[in-house]
Amino acid sequence: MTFKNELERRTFEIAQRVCGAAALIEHNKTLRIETASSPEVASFVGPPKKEIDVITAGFDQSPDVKVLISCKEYRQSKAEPADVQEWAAVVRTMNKYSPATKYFGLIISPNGFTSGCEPWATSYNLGVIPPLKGKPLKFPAHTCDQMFERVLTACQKRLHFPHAALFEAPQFYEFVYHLTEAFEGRDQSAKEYGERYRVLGKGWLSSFPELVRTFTNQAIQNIETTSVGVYLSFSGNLTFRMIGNQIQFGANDGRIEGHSAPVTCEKNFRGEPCSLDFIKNLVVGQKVTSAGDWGVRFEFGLSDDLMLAIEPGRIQVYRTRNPIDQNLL
Amino acid sequence: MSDKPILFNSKRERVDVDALIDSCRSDPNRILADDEVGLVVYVGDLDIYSISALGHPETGNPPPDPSGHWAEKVNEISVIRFGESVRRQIGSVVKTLSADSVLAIRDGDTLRKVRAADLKPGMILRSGEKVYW
Repeated sequence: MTFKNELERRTFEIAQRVCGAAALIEHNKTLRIETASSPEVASFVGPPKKEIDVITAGFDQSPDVKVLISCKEYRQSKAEPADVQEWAAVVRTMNKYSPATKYFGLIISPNGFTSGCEPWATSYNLGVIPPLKGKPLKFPAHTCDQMFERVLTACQKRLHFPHAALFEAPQFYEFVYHLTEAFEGRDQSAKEYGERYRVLGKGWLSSFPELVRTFTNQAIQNIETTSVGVYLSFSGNLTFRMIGNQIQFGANDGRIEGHSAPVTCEKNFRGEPCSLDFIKNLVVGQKVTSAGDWGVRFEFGLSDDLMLAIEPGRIQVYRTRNPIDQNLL
Repeated sequence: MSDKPILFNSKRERVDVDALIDSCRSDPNRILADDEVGLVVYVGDLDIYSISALGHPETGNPPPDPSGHWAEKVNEISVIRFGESVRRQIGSVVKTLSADSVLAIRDGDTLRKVRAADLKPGMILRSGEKVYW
């Protein structure tokens, strides 16, 4: 099988992954309308037809619905209203003269779309990837691939339920938009936090706000230190692990890697030596009220005015009441 | 809908979002997406509504009285894992909106879309309600 460009290859592979044999790719396909008996489609050259490159995604459970996908890969420029208008004409004609099959239209242009494309896409009910969000955004190619896979998978599931409304503008446009809009936040978070936060089990990228939402009001139940990292268990069957510079958190699967190994334990802000048991006695049972990440050092603000700081190889606890000298641990 | 919305059924009984999502998980087809980006659940046939004070979902007319609310049918619930939220007073209601959610405002005799983060005091929504802050 030959592909005109990398985008087309990746898009088709995704369509095959989601739709199996119901995914087709055709180059220079002469698209003909299904019903050609109306007087308005009679002409000297026969019914309307158009040569297009198209990826068609069908669905086993809904053979009467197909998604017509147009891949626009320009080296420098964005897709323009003419690109959207062209696809709108194709999808509209196919729908108008189709007795059974209904078509959704989708355009993928990793370089983005010029701002004039949006009203054409909404009024003709075409999905666009990446989404038009009213500000200059550039998504990497692999993010666009993820968007497409998410949309196609969701579409396949959505068709198990009544879906006639999706064919009314701008419902399908909105459907695609809502499934793709959140990638902006995900990519922004990846830029901001890198590999710092990961959700256990799924291995998903995470963020400081999500970590805070997860642990707020949860009580510390135990602290263990090993040759691999620092392991904290919390109420709600949660765990927080500092493995090197990475923080892994989420549902506690009980796994603790490495062998038991001591870390530097300190009390008070000036860092006086203490034991891990001393720290545990203070913090176990205390609830998380706040958190802060200082790059290498992560701090949990706890009830009882305690601050628990965790670094690779070091744990510190201090009380935040004033005056400091009268509230030393 | 996004980020733990306030939902109710047609009897105006409050619906617990977490319980609703858990019950939807028994039918994998309802879970349109559940990945690193977030969760999207289809509830369009489950008689779920949200309160909208931003105007009638179809006509854009303002709510019938200052304390009144339109019941807006909810098709999908989205829980976004990444994203900022903003708080704005629109009409008589202070709402928490996803920063990149899109609203339509009046711009002369036309409508224009703006992101929630870009809403400015004085803007008038399609529903006729004013953005105060």
